[in-house]
Amino acid sequence: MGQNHEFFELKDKILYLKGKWVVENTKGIQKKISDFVGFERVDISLVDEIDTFGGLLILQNFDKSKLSGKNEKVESVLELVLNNLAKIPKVKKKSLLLRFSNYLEKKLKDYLFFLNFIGKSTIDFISKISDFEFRTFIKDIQNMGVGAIGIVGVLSFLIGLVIAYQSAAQLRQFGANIFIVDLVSISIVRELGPLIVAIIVSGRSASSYTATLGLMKVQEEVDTLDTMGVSPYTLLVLPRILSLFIVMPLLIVFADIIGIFGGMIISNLILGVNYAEFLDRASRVVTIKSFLSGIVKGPVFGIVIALIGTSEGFKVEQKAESIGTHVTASVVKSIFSVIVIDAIFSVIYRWLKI
Amino acid sequence: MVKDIIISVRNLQSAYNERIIHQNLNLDVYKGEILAIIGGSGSGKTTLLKELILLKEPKQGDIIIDGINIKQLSFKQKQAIKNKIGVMFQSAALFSSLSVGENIVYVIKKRYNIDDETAKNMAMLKIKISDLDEDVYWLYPSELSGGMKKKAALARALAVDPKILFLDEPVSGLDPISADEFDKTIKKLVELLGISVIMITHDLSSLLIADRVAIIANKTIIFCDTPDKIHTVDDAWVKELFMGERGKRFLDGNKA
Ligand SMILES: Nc1ncnc2c1ncn2[C@@H]1O[C@H](COP(=O)(O)OP(=O)(O)OP(=O)(O)O)[C@@H](O)[C@H]1O
Ligand SMILES: [Mg+2]
Repeated sequence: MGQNHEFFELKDKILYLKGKWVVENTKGIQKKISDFVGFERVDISLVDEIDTFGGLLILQNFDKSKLSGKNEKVESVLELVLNNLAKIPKVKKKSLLLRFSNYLEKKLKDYLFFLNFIGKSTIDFISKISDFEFRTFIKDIQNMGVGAIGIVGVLSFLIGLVIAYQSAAQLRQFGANIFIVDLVSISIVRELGPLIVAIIVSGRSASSYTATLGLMKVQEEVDTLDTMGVSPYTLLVLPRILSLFIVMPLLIVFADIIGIFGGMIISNLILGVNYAEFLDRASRVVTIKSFLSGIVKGPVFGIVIALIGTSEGFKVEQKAESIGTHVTASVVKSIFSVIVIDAIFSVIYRWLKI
Repeated sequence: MVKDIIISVRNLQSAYNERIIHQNLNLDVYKGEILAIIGGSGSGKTTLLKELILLKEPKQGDIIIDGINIKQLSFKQKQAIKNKIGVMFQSAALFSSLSVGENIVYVIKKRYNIDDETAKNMAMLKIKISDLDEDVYWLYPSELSGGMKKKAALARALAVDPKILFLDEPVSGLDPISADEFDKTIKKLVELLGISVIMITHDLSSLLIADRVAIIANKTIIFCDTPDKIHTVDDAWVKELFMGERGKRFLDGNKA
C-alpha cells in the first residue's frame, strides 16, 4: 500500500521526496507535508531540483538522521542551508515608561539641535562671511519673494472681501456704515496681512528649504562643503535668512494694499461707502504707527521661518521617508512659531501702548 | 559537453535618444557559469545589464532568456522572467525605510505567496549566506557600512533563489579581503545551487572566479572567452589594462 503525490511517495515505510523542491512549490509542499506519517526513513534520491527553500523545508520537517539516499545536488544544498541556519535575534519590547522617556529625550535633543544650529550659524556668519554667495541670495529673493506675489495677492484680496462682507450686516444695524473702513483696514494692517504672508511663506519657503538642504545633506554635499572648509551655514543658511528678512515686509505691504482694496469693493457694493470716502477715512485711521507695527513683524517672521526650514533640512537622515517627515515638521513648526510670536507682539504692543 | 545557453543576445542595438550605446552586440551566457563583463567607464555595461533585466528596451535586436524572446511579452510573462532574476545594483539600492531583514522578506512575499515564518527564516538564511551577522537583520541600510550594504544587497538579490544573478560592480568599495570573501561566496553559490552569474566588474582579481570574460569596447563585445586567452585581444584599452602592475598580477595569478 502506498500514498502518491507530486512531491512525496510513501512506500514500504520509506518516504520518497521527489519533484521540484523549489521556491514556487513551497506552499504546495507545506500543505501536504504533514499528511505523510509512519515512515522510518526519508529518501532524497528522487528530488529533481532543489533550492534553499526546499532545503530549509527538508531540514525543518525531517530529522537529519532519518535522511537517506544519494543525491549530490540535494546534499550540497542541505549543507549550505545547515551551515547558515540562524535564529532571528529578538527585538526587546520597550516598556511604556522607557518609550515615554525616549520621546522626551528626542524632543529635548530637538531643541538642543536647534540652539546648536543657531549658535554655529552665528559664529560662521561672523567668522566665515567670505563664503556668502550673493547669487544664491538674489535667486532666493526671486523664488520666495517674486514667486509668492500671485498667491499672496489672491489670498489677501479674498480675506479683505470676506471680512468686509461679514461685518457689513452688523454695522448696518447700527447705521455705522463708515466704520467698515476702520474695521477692515486696521485688522488687515495690524494682524491679518502679516499673518497671511507668514503662513503662505511657511508653506512655500520653509518646505522648499527643508527639501533642498535635506537632499544635499543625504547626498553628503553638506559634508563635502565642510571638508572643503566652506561653511554650509554661511553658504546655504544665511542667504535664505536674509532673503526672507527682506522679502517678508515687502510682501506684507503688498498684502495690506490688496486686502484693503478687497474690503473697499465690498464696502462700496453693500454699504454704499464710495471709494473716495473710504480712502479718505482709511488714510486717517491707519496711522504710521499701526502700519509699521504690522510691517515690523515681517523680518522677525522671516528669520524664524528660514531658521526652522533650514535647520530641519540639516536633520534629514539617509531614509526615504526622512525628507517627508522633516518637511512636514518644518511647515508645522513654522506656522506654530509664527502664531506664537504674533501673540507675543500683541502683548508687547499693548504694553508699549501702540 | 554541450553547454546549455541561458541568455543569448543577438544583434543588439541600444541607444539613449539618438545616442547609440551598443551596435551589433552578440553574447551568449551559459547555464551555471560566472561571466564577467569588463570595459571602460561609460562603455555601456550598466546599460546592457538594464536591458537584460527588462528595465530598458533595446532599440533593435533580440534578447532570449531561458528560451523566451523578451520582445513583446505580456505583463505576466515578463513577471515570470523577472522571478528568475536576482539583481544587485551598482549603488546597492536597498529600501531605506525597511530593515535589512524586512528588505529580503518583502521581496520573498511580493514574488511568492509564502507565510511570514518561512519568509523570515529564509531572510535570515540569506543574510548568513552573504556573510553578515545575525544582528544585521534588524539594522536599517543607513546604519550599515558601505561594504555591509553591498553584502545586504547580495542577500536581497538572492532572496528567492534566482536562476540568474546579475551583479553590477559587487566588490567596488569593499576592502580586498572582503572582496575576496565575496568572490568566494559567489563561487560557492554557483557550485552549490547551479545558478548563472553575470558580473560587471572593474576588479581584476574578481576575474579569477570567472569562467569567461566579456569585454565591451567600441559599442560591442570584442572578446568573450576564458580569462587565460585575454592576452590575445588586440585592443589598446585592454592592453593598457593588463600591461600595468595590476594586470600583471592578474595574469600571474591566473597561470598559478
Ligand atoms: N539615463 C541615461 N540617459 C542618457 N544617457 C545615459 C543614461 N545612462 C547612461 N547613459 C550614457 O550611456 C553610456 C553608457 O553608460 P553606462 O552606465 O552603461 O556605463 P558603464 O559601462 O556602466 O560605466 P561605469 O563603469 O562607469 O558604471 C554613457 O556614455 C552614459 O553617458
Ligand atoms: Mg555602470
